[in-house]
Amino acid sequence: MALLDVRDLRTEFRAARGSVTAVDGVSFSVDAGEMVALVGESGCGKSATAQSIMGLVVPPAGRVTGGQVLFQGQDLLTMKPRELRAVRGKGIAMIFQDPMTSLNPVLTIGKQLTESLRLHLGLGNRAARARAVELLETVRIPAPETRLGSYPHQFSGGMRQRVMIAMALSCEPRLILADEITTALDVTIQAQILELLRDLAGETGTAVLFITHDLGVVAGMAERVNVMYAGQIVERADTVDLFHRPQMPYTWGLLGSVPRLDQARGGRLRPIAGQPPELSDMPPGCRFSPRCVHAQDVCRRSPPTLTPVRGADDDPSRLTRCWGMQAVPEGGWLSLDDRYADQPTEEK
Amino acid sequence: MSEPTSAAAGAVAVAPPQDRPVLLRVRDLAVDFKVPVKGSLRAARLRAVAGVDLDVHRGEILGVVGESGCGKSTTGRAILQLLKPSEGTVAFDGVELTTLARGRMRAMRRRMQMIFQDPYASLNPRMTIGELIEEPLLVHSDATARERRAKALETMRLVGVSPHWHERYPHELSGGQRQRVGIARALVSNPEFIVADEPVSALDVSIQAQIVNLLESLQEELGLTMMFIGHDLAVVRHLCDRIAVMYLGTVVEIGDCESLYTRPRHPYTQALLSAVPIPDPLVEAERRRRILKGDVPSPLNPPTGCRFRTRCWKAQEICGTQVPALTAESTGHQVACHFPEEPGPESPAGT
Ligand SMILES: Nc1ncnc2c1ncn2[C@@H]1O[C@H](COP(=O)(O)OP(=O)(O)OP(=O)(O)O)[C@@H](O)[C@H]1O
Ligand SMILES: Nc1ncnc2c1ncn2[C@@H]1O[C@H](COP(=O)(O)OP(=O)(O)OP(=O)(O)O)[C@@H](O)[C@H]1O
Ligand code: SF4
Ligand SMILES: [Mg+2]
Ligand SMILES: [Mg+2]
Repeated sequence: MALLDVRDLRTEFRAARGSVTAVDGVSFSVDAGEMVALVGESGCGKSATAQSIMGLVVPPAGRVTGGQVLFQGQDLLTMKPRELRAVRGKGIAMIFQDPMTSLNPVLTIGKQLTESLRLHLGLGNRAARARAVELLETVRIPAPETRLGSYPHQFSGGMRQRVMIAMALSCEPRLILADEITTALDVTIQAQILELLRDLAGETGTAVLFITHDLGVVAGMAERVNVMYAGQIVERADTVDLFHRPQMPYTWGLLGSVPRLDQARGGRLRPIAGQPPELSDMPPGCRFSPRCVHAQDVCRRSPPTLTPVRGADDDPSRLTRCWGMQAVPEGGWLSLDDRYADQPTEEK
Repeated sequence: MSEPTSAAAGAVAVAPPQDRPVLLRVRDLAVDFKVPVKGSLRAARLRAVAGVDLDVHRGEILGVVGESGCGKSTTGRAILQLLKPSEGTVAFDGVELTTLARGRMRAMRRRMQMIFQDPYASLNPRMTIGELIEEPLLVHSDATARERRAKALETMRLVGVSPHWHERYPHELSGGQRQRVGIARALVSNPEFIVADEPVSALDVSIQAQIVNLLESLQEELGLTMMFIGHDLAVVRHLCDRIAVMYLGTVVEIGDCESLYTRPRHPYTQALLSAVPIPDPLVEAERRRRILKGDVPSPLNPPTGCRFRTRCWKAQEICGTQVPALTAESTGHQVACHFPEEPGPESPAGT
């Protein structure tokens, strides 16, 4: 049984006219101790997915309108608030992009850490304080005893993110949702934080759902990857497979858009034309079809489903949402034979 | 589209960047800010740029990289005299800008423009796209309304903004389109030199690649000279001929793109390169990272000697007592370090 099993999740937000579906039938799973990535461009629904899992999407702003979020077999979406609180503390923890929004600016770091330890683990004052010092040490904050008395604004961005990791770890969760936790940080600080998260998750066997828009970071962190586009998962694969044998034109496009430091310079980047669709104005067929150089009539007419790729028909871990990879409604296959032409890192 | 520079740029385009004539020469540039101190009436002096030397050659793209707060934007703004330098000189095409009279500076300004990171903040929401693009012409030329409109439309075409947008407003545009408008505003007065301050940092990768390609082709077509400020080292390498690495208000290394990336000499450059993720899991699995300890010190109280020494694994006593000077090597590569890496065998980023 997967630790987290998200099935056909659907989340709507209130918009100027009616509502928009930001998460539209998203399914994926995370096994115990595993690091799984959710990657995609701005607005594709990554945070909305994480917030739905955590029960943070609440009316009137929005609501989860369908699906299941099974955590250790129990559906979080049908749980009572009390049970949910218990899961949120000890089972799942979330770290956000901007630690300032989740840290209380008028309380010291020590107060916030011990508070959470007392609440979730039932520790006494003294024990909580000792544990807090230990945690700050674990996340490699120098002079932790004295740092307990500092306020969030006295910490740098990297240090605040360490504190958030410490808080997330404090209750020994089984799963951490990490939403763009290094996006606001400089690259040398990002390297520190990623190493820290990788080490600590490895040591404690904590599973991580790692949300980012940065393919480079995904390559170094995740074991499996889910690519999102316009509210849906469009490709899923093992990390090596995704980068070396991407199957969906959107994924090729993403990989072709980023220059690589380890490859010879020269040649133009191969961007994806256009921009993602508005949630309120989704194309009828494949959501990527207006930007896809391979799009054919069927793509513009009917939406493809997320299915196993050709040649791996029984492998549920290798999926794409593309007519080029599955039998079309009229029967037979689309020919996207030139698709490897713009594929950046085809392996021999 | 522009006459003045294309001849010169065309003639030198084949020469390696460091052999082309210098268009911009910056020496000992320093910029101070006054910042309030808690519990004191006197402001403290924050030296955001602390003695920067740079040459930008005609027709090249010079990249400027470094972490947040290291003074990249301040350097760019001080070069364009949008901020008054506290010390140092900035010579553009042989004319010293820091002492130039107002009127003559205004004439120079047409030749040097800036592209900003945040296309949202830098476009007046109450002006149409057409007005926004024509605006610099009102300031910098005596073109008639008709000429301005024609020029604006021509520039819109050049940067890939459909003429249909002429009468529309910025909020109707996507982020990528807005950045194109920002680029059009910078280009419409036919400048020779552009400071592009993180023009793609706020964009999604697929849009970012479109803008990077646009800047590349514009630079070639128009023979522009550019200073490209960025924090994505892979993008900067892709686009630039030479790169300057900044740390806490100083330039620690400058070199042509290839030698800087394959044989970084300054420890900070090495660490910076090794921290950049590479979108390939097989490569990532093999990489040995040089992870820096700690954070960048406060510019209010920078370390003595070499400013990088508090995070440097090579630091010795001399690093605390003597500021290492930016020293040129025979190759044109410059580095400011008491113990630079030998220019030995290739050590590609990350190993
Ligand atoms: N509270 C809200 N009210 C209305 N719309 C929302 C709300 N939160 C998110 N949305 C919309 O839902 C869509 C998905 O947003 P989400 O924040 O999940 O994107 P994301 O993939 O996390 O993007 P980013 O990389 O920018 O964080 C967006 O179009 C967004 O505008
Ligand atoms: N107007 C100002 N008043 C006071 N301090 C300032 C001002 N502008 C910049 N600084 C300070 O000067 C230093 C350099 O800032 P600058 O914006 O040039 O950095 P940067 O390298 O462009 O960083 P980023 O990558 O975040 O854009 C920073 O310490 C910053 O806090
Ligand atoms: S379904 Fe068609 S339009 Fe969509 S990604 Fe595949 S080929 Fe492109
Ligand atoms: Mg998000
Ligand atoms: Mg800046």
